[in-house]
Amino acid sequence: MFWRIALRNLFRNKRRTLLTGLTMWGSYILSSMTMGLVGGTYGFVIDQFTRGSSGHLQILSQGYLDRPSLQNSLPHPNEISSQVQQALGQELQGLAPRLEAGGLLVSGKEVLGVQIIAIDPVQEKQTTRLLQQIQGGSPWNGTNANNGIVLTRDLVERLKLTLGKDLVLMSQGADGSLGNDRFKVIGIMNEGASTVYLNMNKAQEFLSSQEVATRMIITLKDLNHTDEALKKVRLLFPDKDIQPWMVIEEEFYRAMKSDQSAIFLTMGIFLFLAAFGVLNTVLMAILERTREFGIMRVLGTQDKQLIFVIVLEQILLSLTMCLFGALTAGFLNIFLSEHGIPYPAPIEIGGMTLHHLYGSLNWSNMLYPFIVVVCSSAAVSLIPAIRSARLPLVKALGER
Amino acid sequence: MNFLFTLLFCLFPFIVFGKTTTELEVMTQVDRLYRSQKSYSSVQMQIKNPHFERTLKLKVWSEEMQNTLVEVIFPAKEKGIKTLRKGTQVWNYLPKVDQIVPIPPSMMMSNWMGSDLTNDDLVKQTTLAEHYQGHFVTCSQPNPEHLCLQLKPKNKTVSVWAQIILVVNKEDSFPVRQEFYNESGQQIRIFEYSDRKEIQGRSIPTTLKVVLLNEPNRYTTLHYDEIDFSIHLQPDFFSEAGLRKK
Repeated sequence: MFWRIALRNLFRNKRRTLLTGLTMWGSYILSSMTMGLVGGTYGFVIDQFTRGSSGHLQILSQGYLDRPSLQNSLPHPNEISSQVQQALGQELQGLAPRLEAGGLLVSGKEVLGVQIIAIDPVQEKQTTRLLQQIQGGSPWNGTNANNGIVLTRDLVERLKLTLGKDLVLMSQGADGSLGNDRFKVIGIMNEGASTVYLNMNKAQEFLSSQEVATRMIITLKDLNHTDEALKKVRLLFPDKDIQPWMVIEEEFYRAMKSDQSAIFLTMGIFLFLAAFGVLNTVLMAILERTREFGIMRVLGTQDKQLIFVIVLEQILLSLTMCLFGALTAGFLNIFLSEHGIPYPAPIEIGGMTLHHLYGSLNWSNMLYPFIVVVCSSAAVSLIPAIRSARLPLVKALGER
Repeated sequence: MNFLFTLLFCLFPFIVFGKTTTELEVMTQVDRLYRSQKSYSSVQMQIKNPHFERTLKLKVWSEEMQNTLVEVIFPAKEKGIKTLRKGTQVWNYLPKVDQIVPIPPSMMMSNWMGSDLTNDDLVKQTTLAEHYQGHFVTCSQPNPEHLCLQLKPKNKTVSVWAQIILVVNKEDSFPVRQEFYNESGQQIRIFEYSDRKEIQGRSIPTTLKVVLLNEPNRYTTLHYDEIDFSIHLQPDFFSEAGLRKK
């Protein structure tokens, strides 16, 4: 019976119900879209960053992160690769070996300490976007396969080099020998500081490190499956150090976390404001019905029943409007996740330049606004409902 | 301290002296032993660590404490690589690419040719008497033939070592061992001198073993096959031009 009374009350004054409902609908959509845009933009940044170079997971030798050394490398990277492919199956997007060492880059009279990163161009292309960051496209093709070197723009500018120039690289090999050779600049990497990139085959010979890698980079099709994949790979190689991108790129992860904390605070304030908007409308809608509630009490409605009917009305209304809101917000979030909103000027987050603000659709940005709107509607209606139930009948009937 | 390269590359021999009585006398004598004229030596360097084991054959020329030139003659892969130390600067010559590479300050703590010696070891020029305060102490491994000298850097001395224990023969101050300690009192490395030989009237430990204690089974041994104190060198021998000469 109470359900019927509550529904009938909602339809009795359609304009008032519509106004209150629209406030709830608008609050839901705004909250959901704000969360979607924040989550979408950060998700986009993390995805771009991890696919840029670090991958989602990395396989390393125990202790390598603390003391990187050619001597502490992973033997037989091809075997590791095939085992990971079997374990991750369709989840895996790509897997690429890397070989890293320190070295000295010599050009004329200039000598600079550099980090050498050797990559397998074919596997790297399937795994990360590292090669896409090289000016002039994919190097190490044909005649460049062996003695080609890619330098970061920072190094090129410091050494005043151009494509095609010769330079000398020296480094200590895994067997303690002094590797040294002449290389030709075949590409310029747009990102990074003092790093040079070599072809894996050449680097293994140069660093006396045949059939080894210092890291295996794993990229998944879906970044959100990182935790599950991490468990699988750790089970596969219990003697190795398997780390997710959050550990490998700790500084970036911390920067994102710190930014996200500030954003969550802002979102909390936004949700509070949404609740406040609902409060204002609901409060007015109930207070103007004090006389109506007085009549219900005269006709024998108990105080508890009256409070229940008032709260039920608001819950029914907010549930209905949130469902409409979910449909609208879902559509908008999907649209924004695909097309985004262009920034008037590019902004930088976590070292990455963003040109669009992207949305996202997930359970959190649909559920949290739902909870906030429904709960705040119910909570807000409780106060005027109690007031109406306790107000002396004479006073209640006298109010207009 | 110039312990290593004074022995290794500058080849300042340990001449047998008479009995010493004070700390300063022992230190001064050891310092004096480091002074030398021109010399040439042929050295075998054996490097052993948990990851690899290798042997290098080197030719070493030195002049006073300032100049040293080392040429690798084995293995074939690194044959002809030269290291020149002149004063506090170090250069490498790479014959494969015909390039002289000055070693930047940031690489001074890197291993020299995969050994347990650093580039920095090449250029240290401190002397015991001038830069360290010495006191005779009771040896931790008592031996009636040995004297132990505790060396602590003087206030103005810049040193990575908080303490060095120099163990010498009581009879003639011939070095037996040096132990290097960090600020936590932890022993980090040991130099062990052995195979004493009389060469051209000088008494020399022809084998030096450098043991790093932070990693098991890790050491570098230097053995002198040939030593000559009566050589003549061209004035430009220790120069960049000299590096390129065959």
